[in-house]
Amino acid sequence: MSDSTRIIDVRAAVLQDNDRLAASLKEELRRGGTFLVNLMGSPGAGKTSLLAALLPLLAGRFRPAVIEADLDSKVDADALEAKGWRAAQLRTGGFCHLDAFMVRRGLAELGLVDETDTAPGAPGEICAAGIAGDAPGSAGRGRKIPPYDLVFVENVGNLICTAQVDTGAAMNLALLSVPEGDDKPLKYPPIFAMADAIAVTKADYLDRETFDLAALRGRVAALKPDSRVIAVSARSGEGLAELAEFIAERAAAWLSGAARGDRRAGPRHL
Amino acid sequence: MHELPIIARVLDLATASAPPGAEIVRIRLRVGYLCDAEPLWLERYFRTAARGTQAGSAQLVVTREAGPPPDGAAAKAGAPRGTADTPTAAGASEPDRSAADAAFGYVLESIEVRDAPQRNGP
Repeated sequence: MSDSTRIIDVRAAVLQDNDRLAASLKEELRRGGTFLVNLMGSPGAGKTSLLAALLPLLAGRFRPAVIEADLDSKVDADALEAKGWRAAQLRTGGFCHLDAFMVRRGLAELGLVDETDTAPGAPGEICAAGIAGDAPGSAGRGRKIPPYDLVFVENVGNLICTAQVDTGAAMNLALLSVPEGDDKPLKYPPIFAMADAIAVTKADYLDRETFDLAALRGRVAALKPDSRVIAVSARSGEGLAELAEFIAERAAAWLSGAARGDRRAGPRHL
Repeated sequence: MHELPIIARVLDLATASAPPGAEIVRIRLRVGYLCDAEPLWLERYFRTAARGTQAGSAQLVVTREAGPPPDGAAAKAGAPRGTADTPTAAGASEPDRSAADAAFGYVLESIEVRDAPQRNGP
């Protein structure tokens, strides 16, 4: 018996299944005209409170909904539904982060996608449960309007694992509350390197001696120079309009891209 | 915590790539510099997860990418995770040494196997 060994070249991305599912979900949402925002932050950073304060500012321009994710309970979804917002709750059990598969389940509960993945390029699968009407940019072509065109997915409270897995969101928004400290980008760089914007929550506690906002901006810029840092307070309302505008601009760009895509795609979407 | 599904997937890929009956003696895994995955803990989880599989006595060799160059490479790495301007392409997950891959990627580079002994005759 030979004791020799041989090397087999694999060169496979370990998370390739999720990455493909996330890319397919992103494309499906783009075609359907829904902007998905992945909201990440520590437990207690104020994710649900921020949503409750932010949604009224966005509701005039969008039809928003929320997907909540927690290890257990539906406390957050109940809190938002009590305020009149549509909220689906995902229970992750012991899972410390959301992946594209789980987010797809939440979107299916909102009636935005089918539960099963569809191959990129296959039209007509999204918004099967949507409200009949024409989507923006496709007037008169009979395409269905999605029931919600702006969906926030509130990830599991966690600064580490949530940054490791692509959810399929078009925008990643990280929250850092003032009590957590301005040194978090030094301690947990991945989430600040992948987020498109950082909302510094509980800004009403902002004390320049103990929380240096300029230093935080510098630390974030070192990781992602084009990231936007916005101080907000769900209690006082500070910064909420700026954050809402930032999200609206990103969403509008995304949705107009979807409309341009429609024109390119032509009859396939009729 | 996210190490567990990653290690499970590494094992899936490694055993799927190994010939039937072969013993996997080494697995080479490359992780990005922004991956929150310390080689020490990955190896520890691997030891437990691999027990009873083709890779039960395999060595997991984890190589971490060097840190970012001082030119905002992390920003480039963030983009493929999904900005409104830059939709992620399926290819972003391919092991092509792109900026995103160097930052966040987990790539199973290779496995080293010892083939099952040949049987002579019936």
